[in-house]
Amino acid sequence: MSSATLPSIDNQACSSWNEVDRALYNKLPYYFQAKQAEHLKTWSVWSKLLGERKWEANMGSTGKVIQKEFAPVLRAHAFPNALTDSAKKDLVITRERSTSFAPKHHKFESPMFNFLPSFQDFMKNSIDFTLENINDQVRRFNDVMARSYIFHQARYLMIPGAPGDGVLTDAPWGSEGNSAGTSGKTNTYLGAKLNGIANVGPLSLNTINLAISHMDDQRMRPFSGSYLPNGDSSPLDSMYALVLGSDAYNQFMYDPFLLKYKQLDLNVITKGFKGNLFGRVMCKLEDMPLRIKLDTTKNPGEAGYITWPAPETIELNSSADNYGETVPNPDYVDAEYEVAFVVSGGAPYEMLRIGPPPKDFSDMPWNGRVIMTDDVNVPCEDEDGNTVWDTNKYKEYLQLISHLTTGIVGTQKRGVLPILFRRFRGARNPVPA
Amino acid sequence: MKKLLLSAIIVLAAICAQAQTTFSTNLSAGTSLCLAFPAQISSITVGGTASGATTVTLFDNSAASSTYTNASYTTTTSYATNITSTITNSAGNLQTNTFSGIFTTTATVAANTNTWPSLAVYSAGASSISGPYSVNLNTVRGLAVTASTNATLTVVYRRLR
Repeated sequence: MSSATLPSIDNQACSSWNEVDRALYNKLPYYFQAKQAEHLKTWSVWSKLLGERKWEANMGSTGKVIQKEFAPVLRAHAFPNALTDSAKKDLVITRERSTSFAPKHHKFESPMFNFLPSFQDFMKNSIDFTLENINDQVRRFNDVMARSYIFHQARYLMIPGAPGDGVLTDAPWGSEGNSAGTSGKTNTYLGAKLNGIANVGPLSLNTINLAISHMDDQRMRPFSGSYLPNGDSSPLDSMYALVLGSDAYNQFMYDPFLLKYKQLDLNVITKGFKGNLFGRVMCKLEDMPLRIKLDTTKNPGEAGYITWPAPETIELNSSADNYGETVPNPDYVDAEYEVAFVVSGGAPYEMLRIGPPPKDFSDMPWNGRVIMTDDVNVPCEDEDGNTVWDTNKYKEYLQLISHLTTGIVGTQKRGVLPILFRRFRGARNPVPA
Repeated sequence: MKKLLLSAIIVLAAICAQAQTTFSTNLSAGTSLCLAFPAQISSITVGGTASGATTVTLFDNSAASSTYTNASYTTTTSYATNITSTITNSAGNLQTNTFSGIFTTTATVAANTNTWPSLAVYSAGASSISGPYSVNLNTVRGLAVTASTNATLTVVYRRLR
């Protein structure tokens, strides 16, 4: 140990070894460094696969699509009379059918932004970042809205189950679902179906083959002459589209049918699996597919037994290293079931494209564009401590808002077949999720 | 090099073997709960006791019960039918048309108690062992077993959650 007087003069050289206290001078406790958050961008699936229908002002509250229907083919045989006898005749009557729909809307908002953080804080782009994120959420909302409508409106539901490769069930259809799971394909309906099958199967190639046969039965034609982008970079021509999540797609390379009948030179190890199945189905990957998780703490008959977990959640432990991070929701990752969709051509569903707002309300933003507004009220207290609302006359606050008008109509509800399957993952001896 | 590869295979096999668990139990006649969690079952062995031959039925359930109760729900049904309509035609005559087709409508399925669909059924003679059978059963709830009489059961499984 050495001791010295600091500062001092005329000390004996070499009498001591003195070091400046490392905590003597000022320093920054942190040096903030900005980093752009990286995340997988949302991509639209449904709006590119479906048709489009315009909706303009002054068209009322409800639309009705009226379609001509061909007469059914009744003949298995044809035995006309000889010319010497009087001819028999066929009566051919065509009909019309109609489908109703209504344009919908949804709003998105940020919390209020006070000017102070933007002035004093290190991170400068909070508002732009939020704007970009709301844009992303609006795009996803539109896609999820279409998927929800299609799932609940679909005439049939396929649940692959032992011992066969697919069980096609008559399903509740023709009405929209709701968040409570009490409308459309209700939670109690889905619970009953899943409870009734001992071993719900994966999305196997056999199941997909059966689903395509079903589409043929229903005389739902494949896409034709479409140049929609797809996973194999070829036109979606003379094919059905299969919309599925990536982990169902990843399992195809272990599918027993594929492994048994694949070409000897098909390299599934390093080249992966390509998107074309049987020359009739083109796979289209969906980000965050629809999943079901069972709440096994509930009675299997209860509505709450079926849950629809959110794909993501937030880390809330303030002492965790990733506090505040958006992370995958474990319930979603572990969900037992998932839904894929076989989509036929001919635009069985059409997304509504809502026209501009009425002329006198032309400033009303309702096309989903995110705008920044200071047209907000600000709370303040009067002399009695009551909250009163003042205008934002000092322009201290901003808010991001978006108003989306949207909608979808199913003109051929047999044209999309949802397949509810058990999730399996893993390369060797795949295990359920 | 070959030795290295062999060592790696042995280590991997050991890791895989560790992931498997063996569960053995003596079953009384009736339904018992064997696994209260989702599992991938790879092997089943059934043993009969001196009580006599036994049949065991496996169910995917997390309670010692072979039944469950569904809530009432609505589904869709359709049937072939004829619909007759009568109109007055342009000549003023009554005209009866019969349209032949199917009629699709909603159907309510009442709440009722059902037996869980069985995953598998195995039998064993008195005082004899049946199995082990290689299976690939993946449960979402657990494993409940109904035995017709006293029996032993050995299950090799991997817990999924």
